[in-house]
Amino acid sequence: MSALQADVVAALGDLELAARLVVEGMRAGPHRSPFRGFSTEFQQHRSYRAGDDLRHLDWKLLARTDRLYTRQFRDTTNMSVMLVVDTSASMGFGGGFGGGSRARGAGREGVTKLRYATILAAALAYLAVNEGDAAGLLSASDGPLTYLPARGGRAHLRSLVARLDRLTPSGTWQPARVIARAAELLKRRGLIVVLSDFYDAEDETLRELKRARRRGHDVALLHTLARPEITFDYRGDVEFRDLESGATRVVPADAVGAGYRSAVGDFLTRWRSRAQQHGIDYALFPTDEPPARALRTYVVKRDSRPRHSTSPTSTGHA
Amino acid sequence: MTWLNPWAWIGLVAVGVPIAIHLLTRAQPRPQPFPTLRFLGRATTTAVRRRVLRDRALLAVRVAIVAAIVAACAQPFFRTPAGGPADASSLRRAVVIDTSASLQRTSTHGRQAIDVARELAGHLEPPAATSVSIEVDRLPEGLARATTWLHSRGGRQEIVVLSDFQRGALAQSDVAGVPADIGLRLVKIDTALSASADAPAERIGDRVWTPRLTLEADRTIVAWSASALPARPFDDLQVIASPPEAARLAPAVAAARIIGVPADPERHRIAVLLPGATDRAQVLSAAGAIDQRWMFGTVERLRHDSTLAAAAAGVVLDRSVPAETPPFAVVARDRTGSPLIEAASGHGSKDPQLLLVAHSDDGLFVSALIASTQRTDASALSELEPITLTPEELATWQRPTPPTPTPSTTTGQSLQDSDGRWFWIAALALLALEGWVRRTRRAASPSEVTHARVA
Repeated sequence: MSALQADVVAALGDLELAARLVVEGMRAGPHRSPFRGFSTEFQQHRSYRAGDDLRHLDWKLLARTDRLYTRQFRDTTNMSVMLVVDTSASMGFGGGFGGGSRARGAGREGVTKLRYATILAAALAYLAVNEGDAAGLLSASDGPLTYLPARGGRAHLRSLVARLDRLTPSGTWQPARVIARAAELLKRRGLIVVLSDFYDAEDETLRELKRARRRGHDVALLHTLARPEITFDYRGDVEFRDLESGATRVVPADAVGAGYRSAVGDFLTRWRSRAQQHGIDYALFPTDEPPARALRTYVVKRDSRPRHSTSPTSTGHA
Repeated sequence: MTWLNPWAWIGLVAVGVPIAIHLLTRAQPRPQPFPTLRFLGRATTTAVRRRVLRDRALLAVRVAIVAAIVAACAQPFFRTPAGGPADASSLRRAVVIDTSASLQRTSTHGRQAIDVARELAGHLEPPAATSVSIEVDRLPEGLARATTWLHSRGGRQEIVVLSDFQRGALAQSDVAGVPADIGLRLVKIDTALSASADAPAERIGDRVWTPRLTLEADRTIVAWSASALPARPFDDLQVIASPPEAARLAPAVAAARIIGVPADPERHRIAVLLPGATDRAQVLSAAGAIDQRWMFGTVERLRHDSTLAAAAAGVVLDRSVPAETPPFAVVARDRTGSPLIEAASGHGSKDPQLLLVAHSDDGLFVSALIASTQRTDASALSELEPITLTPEELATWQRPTPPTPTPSTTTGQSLQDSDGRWFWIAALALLALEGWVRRTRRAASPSEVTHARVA
């Protein structure tokens, strides 16, 4: 099944259906799941490949055969996935022009970042529940936290998807507080997936992410940005209004475009390098990418990268 | 400054073109919601403001270019005939007021017509920058004097004639003598239609018959009245001459005394001084300025006496006669223009007398002079004319004042000499300025980019 375009998926009123389509599209590839849980059931040996965690090297087999083999385990334990979704007003940006405030974004065109993030989150939840894992939801803006504990089961999935569907962009959010809360709410070591544009409180956010890692959680950052935020292909004089603060600034877009793109490039590079530095999964999800394709690409990368898991027994499955 | 082609100012509507283009193409800041402003430079708003200011300057320059072109097409004209600054659009007016006897009559307004004319002269519209009133009893002469006065002045010119326009007082040929670039307005003063006056008396036998004429629009009434000759009928005329002259002129004097009828022999005494008179120097030394109203009237009548003028034209003095110093006034000149008759106030044996000094003893001339002194002023009869020029006739003779004088007629310059070239030069200079502003605007953009990158 080919990957559906982002706007087509986003246009689906049924988020659960959208998530299923995304997952189905994603499965057209060689990987089944992005989640590699903490398993204790040995499955097989395979030849050691550079980058494999040395802790999973079968030393006894090495001693007997003088060959390097890595032990692989089957995912038998339920993994808890906590989906942390940024619902601040900046996530309502879709890349279109105009200042209309609609329920799911401010833009007249394009998929809003929040909608795209909810599709990704629903797809991940769908995937997790189908694999027998647990999925939970935590989101917040200025108001109280929206929290759904990580559980499995279809009924819970529907509830989670329904919660996701009701998320609307508004106000600001405090990523450090929400991430810290997510790390606390996961009863055992799990996976925290943060879907955000990460504009707010970079240092504090990173600090909490590192703390979550230290608590044993796997952390993944799905950096969701609209394409115009990256390319800044505006023309003429534009009065930009900050979706969160309401501040405005008139700029000659042609003149400042290069400077803007350079600054955004630095911003993205900084997040990528910091995440890599601290063993955090990081992936950029432009909202004009088909969600299935973007998710599959992410999974491929996640599978191929060296594990930094704090778990002594985990490894990826083929 | 005046505009030779003021209709070109309609072209000012073209100023709206650059304004419309500016408004239509002006890049209005487009509102755009955006997730964050953190990556936008701080100084960019200032850059936009600078560009907006430059845009306004550019618009002003473009509007000025159009205005300069339109002004050039309107052909401004800065100079006067004298070369100095002047407002050629202002009006110069010469008002000719008819003071002939007919204007002494009562007007239809119940006042004396001449007063009505003078009052009208002071309230003519539109107001003139410069005006002059010329009061004459002969309209052709007034027109000539008005034309002469206006000839030395620039600007728009107009002659206004205030008269009752009795038929014969003004002819089309008189009007044709006024230059075409001078407007002509003929304002009619209505007067009473009938008037009476005494015609020159006739001596028939031993009585003097005086006809009184009353002219009305459809009839003429003549009433004769007879009176006896005065006891000293001819004492009013004294001829001061040498004996030979007196002898030679005796028949002429006698004839004049027989034919002529003195108007008021008791009061109006005239002395004719001939060149050969033995006491000429003594008489001249005793002369003084004319100080009697009847003397003025007599001198004026003699000046316009056609018989005397014809006789004087036949005389050529064999020597140049220097004009007498004041108080002498020239009454007639010979064919070469030398003074032939001069007038002053003399002192006779009894009453003041009008002294006429003749510089020639030509028989025909002296006879005409003596005869003229004995005639009543017949020219006054023309003032009885009850029929006036119709408004239609006057309308055909009138012409409006040209809106602006053409340089070819008022200044001697051609249209190509208008000062529009200065506006063309200004337009070219503004065009260069517009190009410079545009280049400056283009050159300013990279600096803004650099600024934003730094920010």
